[in-house]
Amino acid sequence: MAFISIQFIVFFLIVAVLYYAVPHRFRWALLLGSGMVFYGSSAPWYLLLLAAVTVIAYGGGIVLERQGGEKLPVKKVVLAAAIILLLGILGGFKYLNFFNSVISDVAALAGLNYPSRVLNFILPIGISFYIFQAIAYLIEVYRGAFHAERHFGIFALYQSFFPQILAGPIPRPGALLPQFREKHELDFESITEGLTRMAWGFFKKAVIADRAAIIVNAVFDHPHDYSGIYLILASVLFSIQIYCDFSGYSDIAIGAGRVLGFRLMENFRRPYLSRSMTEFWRRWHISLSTWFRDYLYIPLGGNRVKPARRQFNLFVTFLLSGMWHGAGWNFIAWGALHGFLVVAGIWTARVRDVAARVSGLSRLPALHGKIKQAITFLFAAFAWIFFRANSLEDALYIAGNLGSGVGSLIVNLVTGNRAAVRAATDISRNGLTLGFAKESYNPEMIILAVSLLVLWTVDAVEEHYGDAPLLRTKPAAVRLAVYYLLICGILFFGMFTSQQFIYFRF
Amino acid sequence: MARFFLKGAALILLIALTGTAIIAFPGAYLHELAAVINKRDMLVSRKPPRLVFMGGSNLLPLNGPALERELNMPVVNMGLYANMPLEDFFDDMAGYLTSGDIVVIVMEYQKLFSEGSNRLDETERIRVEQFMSLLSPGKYALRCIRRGTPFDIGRIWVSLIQLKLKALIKFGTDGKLNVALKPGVPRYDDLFDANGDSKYSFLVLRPLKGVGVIYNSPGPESSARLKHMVEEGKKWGFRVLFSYPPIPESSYNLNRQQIGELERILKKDLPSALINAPADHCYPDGLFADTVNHLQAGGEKIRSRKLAEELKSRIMADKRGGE
Repeated sequence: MAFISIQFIVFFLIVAVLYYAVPHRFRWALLLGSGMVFYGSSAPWYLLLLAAVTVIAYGGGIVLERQGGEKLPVKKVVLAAAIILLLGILGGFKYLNFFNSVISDVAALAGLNYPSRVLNFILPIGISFYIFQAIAYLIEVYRGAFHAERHFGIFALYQSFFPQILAGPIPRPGALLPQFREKHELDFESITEGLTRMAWGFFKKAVIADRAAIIVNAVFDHPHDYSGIYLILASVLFSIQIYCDFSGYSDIAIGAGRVLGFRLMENFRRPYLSRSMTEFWRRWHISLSTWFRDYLYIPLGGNRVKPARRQFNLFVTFLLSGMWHGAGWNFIAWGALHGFLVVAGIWTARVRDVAARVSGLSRLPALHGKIKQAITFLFAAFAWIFFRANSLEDALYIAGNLGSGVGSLIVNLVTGNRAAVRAATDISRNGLTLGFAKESYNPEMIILAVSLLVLWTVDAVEEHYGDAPLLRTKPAAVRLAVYYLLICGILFFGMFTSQQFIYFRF
Repeated sequence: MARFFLKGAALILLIALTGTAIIAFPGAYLHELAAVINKRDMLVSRKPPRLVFMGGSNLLPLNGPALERELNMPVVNMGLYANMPLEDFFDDMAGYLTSGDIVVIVMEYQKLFSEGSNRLDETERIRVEQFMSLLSPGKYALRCIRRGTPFDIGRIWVSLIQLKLKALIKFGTDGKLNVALKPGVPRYDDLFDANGDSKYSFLVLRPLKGVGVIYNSPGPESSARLKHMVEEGKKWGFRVLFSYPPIPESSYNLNRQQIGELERILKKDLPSALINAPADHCYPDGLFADTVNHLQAGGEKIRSRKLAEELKSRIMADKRGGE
């Protein structure tokens, strides 16, 4: 069931009404049933997989707890076995074909005959998310930071809570599981807050992300047809698309949870306002980056090891984070690039400080901050090329041709050679201009530009005032006007296409 | 709790009123199919008795002025798009037709054969229905409810608002607000002549789209739709005739059996409505433009001349029969 669909709105309204109508002791069952309906509506067999993961994590948790508080070797074996089982399921569905093709390529290089067969697995939606959620639970129980959940129904609900099962935020057991036992009273402030958050998510997805996607798809699907200026435009727009798409999804998930009285983990904090790549990863997909920090980077030694080892650990963490996103060389390259950028940030910290002092930028902290933000955004946008491109070859082509034709375009612009500028910017293909019908190109671009201005304003205001719900303090008329404009914006300018959320693929 | 729901209801009402105001406000929709409104207005503005052509885009390049000269009656070309449900369009237009009018139906072959190949996907259905709903909103709302898709009313409503706002943005920013405020498709007069014929020729593309397609066998629905229109015409007092659409020789030869079967069915069910045979409008492939339905200007000249002759002889025969 897609979040942006009438079916979901009806489903959610029914669940919300029933949730507050039934006694507290039955609510977990209602939510569990809703999660099954929601998740099973994509393909009923997904439920079998979810059930298997739930049973492994539930059983594993209890066995781990029975071993006592000490980190005994047996306990380690149980944890390792459970994690291997879970990762085995993930690997089977997500990476088998990739590793198979890698072995085949290596065998071919060595002149060996390896019959590589493509196995037609369908990657179940959300599998990477709920498996990581289960692993987080097992590790927390192993560490003794959290007691194993004995109520199978509640635990199954933790694994299948419908607002976040498809693409997170990946919750920590300590933050979410106890909430299923709390009694949530009907609170219209929370409901309004949740609905507003959902509406903002719908706006980001339907008005911005899906509109930007049309241009991005047109260019990334045929990169050889476009000159550098359009490759740059598409790369920048993909940065915006993926932010609005994924943070929009997270807003809907967090808002839906809020309507039901739950507080889900924040997943984004205005990442494109970051001043370094390290800060970017503290603001982007927070539930995943903290997962890797807590369950991979810190166990590898974290900040306690020697600098070289620490940098190696950072790089490995990012490399694996890239692999988590997808089984393909471009995702690995994307992860490696981020690992390199973060490590390079450490290497160059002193040089950059000196440069700022010498240039006088350190005396202009506001300007210095903006320059850092711009550079960080450009690095992130460049890295996204590898994430979005259809193949590593395409990514390398795009990355290598970002400047093609840009110089002559600037010269023609400066010298006022309009004919040459027009020729260079004529990008009509089969009656479409950057994926839009010629007639609708201008209005679509104007709507995109205005909605980006709205997004930037909201992000800037939130950055300035923090995460406190600012709207709640405003007079009723102002709030009503905001709700009105937001809903009109979604309805009258939303693209109601079948474009799925990008992160559903992972 | 009451305050919360009251505020929510007020918000929904305010949004619904805004949307309705946008729809009700006269203005253009940024979509070529919005020309149905202009074509309806053109039909209303022409004095009866009229010769009214209805069908898909095969009619777009029709030579209306030549037909007018030959037949000495105003020609109204309502042809627009094959995927528009013609019988619904016909029903919507029937109220504007009077005794003495002659309606000539020229449906594309794909629409004459069995339903399987004609079923529209949801996006296309909404795309088409939104403009049909502009002609008779109440009827379409009822239909959505009857077929169990009441949310389609909202989808159509939202889609129309979006197209109107996009026209407003496009022409407003171009400094041509007057274009955005004219009902129908923007710049209708630049696109269509006074008869409703397209001013633009189709692009010539090869290979022809649709060439090599084998049609399904004709089913009962093939003649049912046409029979319905003939009966409706009788009820309202105007005449309904049927002409076979143009077809390239290669497609005709490939589907000779199916087309022959269709001809037999139509001859049996609609003996007095047919004005020609499929072979009469079979033309060399070279006369077609981009698809098997669209003739180039040269081909259209021949088709329109043939149609004029066929209609002339039918009208004369009818007159003689009447005397």
